Amino acid sequence: MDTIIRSLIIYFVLWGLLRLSGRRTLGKMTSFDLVLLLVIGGVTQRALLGQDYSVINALLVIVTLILTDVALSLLQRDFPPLSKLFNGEPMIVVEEGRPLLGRLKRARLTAEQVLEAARRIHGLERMDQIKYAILEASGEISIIPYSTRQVTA
Amino acid sequence: MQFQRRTWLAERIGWIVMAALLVAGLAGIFFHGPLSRTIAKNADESVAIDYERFAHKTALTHFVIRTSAPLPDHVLVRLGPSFANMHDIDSIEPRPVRSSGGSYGLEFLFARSSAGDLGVYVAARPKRFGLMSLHVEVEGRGALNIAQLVYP
Repeated sequence: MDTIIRSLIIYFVLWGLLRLSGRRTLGKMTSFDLVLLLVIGGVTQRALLGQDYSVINALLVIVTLILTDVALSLLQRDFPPLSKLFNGEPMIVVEEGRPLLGRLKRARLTAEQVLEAARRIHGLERMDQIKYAILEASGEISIIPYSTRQVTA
Repeated sequence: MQFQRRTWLAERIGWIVMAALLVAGLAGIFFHGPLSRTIAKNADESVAIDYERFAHKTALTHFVIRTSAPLPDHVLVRLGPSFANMHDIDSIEPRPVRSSGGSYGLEFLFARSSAGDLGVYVAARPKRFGLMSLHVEVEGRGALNIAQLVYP
């Protein structure tokens, strides 16, 4: 019983912390972010398993985490406001070639990073070639150039 | 598309099985929980063992052996040979006055409490998995056989 309760607590605490750390943590992962995630994984493992290294305990932890994930995805499907709470929502950061600096700053992005995304996937060179740049809920930057094609960086 | 439908069906069945596992886990079918904790008593209820029916290999599980008053100054408690074979004993409270081991298993001599009864707290880690039969005896009071299912 306590294994399941511990797993649920860890799930929601981790979710809350990652959500608070902002979208870029998920979307633009640097090698240091990866190391950080591995460290978080190691620390979490101890909290999840305690001193019980049995197979059944590991199975219970895995089932709890997966089922919580499935249950939350079903809830988000049926209650869209929950989806917004859990994942956030997309935000336009470049409009008609004009970077919205206030939003970029609060999202901890720079115009250069938006341009990088535009260059990398779409081969664009200048800001005025971008119709819209959108910071997606997943942390990725989508670029819509002055054509109908949409590319995700 | 038929294959996809079957996959979706399998997924949903999987969710139901996982949910059932979770409910069983919360109820204590796998370890700590209301269905796991139990008390075994001998015929005249002078010896009772509070323990868990279900345990995990390598994880601590607790046994409380209680004997009611009146008791002599010193009480001998025997844990059958299967106990030591199946478990690593982590701790025993209170500290026994004397302990020994032999073909009969482990013997501990305890001083009774000031209230005239005795409660012995044993913390142990199962070192094997499967169904275990454990024998506990309080000399002069009676013996009990308890069963414990240890998950791998």
